[in-house]
Amino acid sequence: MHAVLVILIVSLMVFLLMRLLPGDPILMYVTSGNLQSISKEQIEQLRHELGMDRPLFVQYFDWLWHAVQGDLGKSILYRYDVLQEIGKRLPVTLYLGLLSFIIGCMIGPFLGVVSAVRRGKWVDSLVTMLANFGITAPPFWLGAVLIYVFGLYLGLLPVYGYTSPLHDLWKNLQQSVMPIFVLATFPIASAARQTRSSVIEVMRQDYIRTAWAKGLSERVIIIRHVLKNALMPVVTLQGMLLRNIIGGSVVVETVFAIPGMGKLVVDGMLSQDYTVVQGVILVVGVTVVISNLVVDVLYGWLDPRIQYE
Amino acid sequence: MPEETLPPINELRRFVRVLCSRGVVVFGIVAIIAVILAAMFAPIIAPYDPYAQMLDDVLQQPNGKHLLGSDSLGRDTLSRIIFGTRITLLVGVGTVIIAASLGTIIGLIAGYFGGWIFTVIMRFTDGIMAIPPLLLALVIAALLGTGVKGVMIAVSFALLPGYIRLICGQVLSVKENEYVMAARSVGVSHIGMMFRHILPNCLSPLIVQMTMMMGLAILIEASLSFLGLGIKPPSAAWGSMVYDGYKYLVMRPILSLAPGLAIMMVVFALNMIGDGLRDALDPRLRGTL
Repeated sequence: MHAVLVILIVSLMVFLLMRLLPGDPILMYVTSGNLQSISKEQIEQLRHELGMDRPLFVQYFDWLWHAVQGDLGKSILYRYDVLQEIGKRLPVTLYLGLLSFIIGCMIGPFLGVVSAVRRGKWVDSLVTMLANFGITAPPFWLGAVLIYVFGLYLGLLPVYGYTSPLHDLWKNLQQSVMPIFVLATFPIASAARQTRSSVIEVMRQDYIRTAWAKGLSERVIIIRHVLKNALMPVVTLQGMLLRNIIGGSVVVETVFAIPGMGKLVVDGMLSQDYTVVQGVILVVGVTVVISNLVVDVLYGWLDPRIQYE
Repeated sequence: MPEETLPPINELRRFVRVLCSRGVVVFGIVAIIAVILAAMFAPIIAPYDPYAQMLDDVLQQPNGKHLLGSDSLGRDTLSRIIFGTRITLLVGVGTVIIAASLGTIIGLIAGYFGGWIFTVIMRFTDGIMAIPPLLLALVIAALLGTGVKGVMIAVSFALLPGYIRLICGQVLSVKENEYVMAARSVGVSHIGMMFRHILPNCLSPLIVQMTMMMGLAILIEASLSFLGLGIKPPSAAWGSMVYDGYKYLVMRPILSLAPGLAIMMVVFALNMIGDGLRDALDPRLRGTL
């Protein structure tokens, strides 16, 4: 129920933002099609046909009604079906995004635990330093550095493009290494930082001292006693990270010329193709809300004390 | 009690000592001071006018005349980076002021009054948070026009929910304290309660958040400018400099790499200061450092 409400709010926000944007969509529609001069009456006629002379809230419910039925309208510029285009591009973004997310979820907490357990040692200093750089490096800059070093200077990897893994797995892997590295840097770094600090906090608890006093081995203490309790804030973070990866894909897909959702929204924005932007943001919003729901459920499962009304 | 006779300077001294106990934090403070000075005295420090197109010196390698080379229009990269500190600082400070003050007020109201006000504000916050900040800033920047002001407001709006959430959570826990009930029982007004009794006790996490968010705001601005949807050329914004240099990555990688490194340094410095402030302000960590 809560999730549905949030999705409704997102849709309302997206719709209003798009309507407030400068530029008359009708004029875009007209000039993109045939460049002949069109009289004012004809424009009004077209506006009427497209239903854009109706009150705003009627338009909103109309748009929402169609969106629920899977109709996000047509691109103003190119007239393609927005949902179909998203359907083509979403798998690309999800493929890269989810791979980066999984890599981030595995490597980040692992590094965090190692550095917390070896606190003050050189491993800790190294991990902390790398993590601090990882959360600061601008993704577009990191992409540029990688392209320069591995693509142009060493000539090891292709610098742009995307091939479906089903079509040519080897080429896909070669092309995906750098984008995934850039996308995964922030999740790895922030998960490592979060895990490190929450593990250190848990290790100060009395029950951990008890576990040591019982004579348990370090491995058992870390895995059974520390990790279970330290993981909660990390799970919360993962929900946020997924949102960040989607945001990051906007930049990464532009840098590496990958035909995904991010590239679609940037191109749509640059060419003022608002139906496309509107559709993409709605889909992104729904994806994020659903993934938050998953995190909530996971949370309740990890910590039975949390109850949802 | 003996504690009461201790001079209050001790608290400040402890704060400074903890803050400066880590080398990276000191580095961060020094770096930010350097950036502020560079922004203030840019016309004096910069060797050239950042907008002057020296057509004899197009795409120079780094040399004695142009320490970091020059771009495709013959503009000196170093001078542009130095002038870029102004936009960076303006965006960083501006967004923090806008987002933090608005977020604090909204969060205070939501947390203090609770009930349906809390529910409505929180649902809207959830709604904004469902859209990645970069994407949201991108749309709003287009809405407001791509000047520094538009970008600043856009980024502020994208970062607003973070502040609302933080303050609201703090207020909810501070509200339960006995001194709040005491204040209420002597008839302090709502405004007085919120700003005199509750807000001061939420400040430490807010300060830490503001430092970190300043870095994030600078990153988002740079990303927008890089995508061509933020601050438009010819303004010397670091993000658009990276983009401009992109076309010459093979020939003059420094055109892209140098401004990017500048962004990274500033954000890194801010994050380190944020970490240091958290260590210094968090009472739970007292005595461990």
